[in-house]
Amino acid sequence: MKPLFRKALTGLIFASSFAVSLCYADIVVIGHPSVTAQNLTSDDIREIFLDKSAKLSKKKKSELVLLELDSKAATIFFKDVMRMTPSKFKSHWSKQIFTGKGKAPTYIANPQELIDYVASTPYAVGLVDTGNDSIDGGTQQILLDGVRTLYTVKK
Amino acid sequence: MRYPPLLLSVALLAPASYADIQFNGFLSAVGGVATDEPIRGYEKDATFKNDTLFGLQASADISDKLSMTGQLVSRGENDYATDLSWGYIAYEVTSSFRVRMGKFRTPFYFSSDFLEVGYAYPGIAPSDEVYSVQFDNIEGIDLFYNTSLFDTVNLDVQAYYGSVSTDFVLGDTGQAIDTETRNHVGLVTTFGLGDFALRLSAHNATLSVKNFLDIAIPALKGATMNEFFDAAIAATQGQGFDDIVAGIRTEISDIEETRATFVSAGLKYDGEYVFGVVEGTNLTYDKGPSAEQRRYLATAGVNIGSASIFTTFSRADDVYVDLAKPINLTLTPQFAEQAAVLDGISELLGVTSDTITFGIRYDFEPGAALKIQYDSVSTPDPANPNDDITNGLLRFGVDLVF
Repeated sequence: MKPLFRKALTGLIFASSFAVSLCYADIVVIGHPSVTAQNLTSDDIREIFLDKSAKLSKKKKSELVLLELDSKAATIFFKDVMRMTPSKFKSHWSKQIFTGKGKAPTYIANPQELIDYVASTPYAVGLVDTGNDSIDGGTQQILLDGVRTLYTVKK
Repeated sequence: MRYPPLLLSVALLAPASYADIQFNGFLSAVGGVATDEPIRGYEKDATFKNDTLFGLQASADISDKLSMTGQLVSRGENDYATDLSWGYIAYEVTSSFRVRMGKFRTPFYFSSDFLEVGYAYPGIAPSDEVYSVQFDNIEGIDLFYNTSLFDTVNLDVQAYYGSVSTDFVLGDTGQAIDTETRNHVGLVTTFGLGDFALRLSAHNATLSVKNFLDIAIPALKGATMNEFFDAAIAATQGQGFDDIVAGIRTEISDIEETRATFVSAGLKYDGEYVFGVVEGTNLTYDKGPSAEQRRYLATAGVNIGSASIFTTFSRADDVYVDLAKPINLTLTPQFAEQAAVLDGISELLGVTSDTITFGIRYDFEPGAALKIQYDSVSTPDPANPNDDITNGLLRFGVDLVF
């Protein structure tokens, strides 16, 4: 490939990815780059969040990170993907924790902090809302830097 | 044993020495009233002690693969004495294969692992009939393997080896007997498909009970079984009944060392709107006076928003050993009294009871549930074995996890 062409192509890819992440306020499930699974369905995501799936990695269990359970993203996620109330989720996880089978999900209120956490924690999987309308009343766009998008809950 | 100083020191030292210690806890505050006669530790006036408990769990990752977990629980029924329910190290060989060593929960039942975490199930407490084996925790080694069959069925396999030493509280006598299991092995498989789970388990151990014949029992108005047999031998001296008496005595003393086998099967559905469980268990002994335990339960419930309503039927239908069988009462009616005592011993070693439960759970916020439960317990009338006596128990409480 010619250097100029390659540069243009890289630029184009960069620009398009930039545009995609800039244009929408998506509710997405993201993963650390070490999570290489592809074409995950909503059932896969549900199983991952219930600690029932070994799909993501044979080496290590995924660490789960969620926005607070009363956030808009969590409400939609629990209704559409998890098909259970946050209470039921918590009850399920209390079984995992107190049987020593799983590590409790971490709850982080700030989407940017959540993305940074997933980006820096191998095998982490998180639920995040790329639109953050808590600041100054308007919707602030958040970039999905350093993470992979595993599943889009809602555009 | 009490551990508060240890608990305190762990809590104080933790933040300084390790960054990655997870603390989780659970609490159940439960009150109850027996609506008829005193039952299951409750009386006619409300008491708040029997099912109230507090648990704290600490786990720490020592490395990527190695972790430790300890759980301290204080139970109202033991006057809040704190005991180490769990304490084990776990080694994660791969994400689906784990080895543990130490003290952990004996996996007899569907809900064994979270037996004390009220928040994890709909009712106030698990079924009295079914969840009755007293060897809750075991010291040993276990292997846990998780895999997926045909990419759809989730399979968990747990195998363990260990031993238990505990004080077994015998029926209503309130007396603790020194009891042990040795070469205690078990295998548990759980198949999960969507919202369904099927669980099958089998366990085997050498069970020993120390000095069983020295226990004073109600049928003897506080005298011990040894005293009873000594008196029976003296009373029948020279009448040719020595062999019969000695034979019965041997059969009872066989409890001091026997193989015990426990199997269980359960099916669970946990859907978005409805849930249900059926579970059956069977406990048999190679020899000795203990009844074969046959226990069943069926639960069905609905989820309405943050609330659940459920009903459970559970039954203990034990098959008693007829210790008085060698005594032929038509030929020797003079031994009716002794036969009645032997029946009393058999009855002490088994349970016949039915419980119908209705309950409501309301999750007033994630991590906290309010519960009310009514149990109607039917047991045979001691005065007239063909009739049942029914007693009610109303309990209410809050379960938390944090």
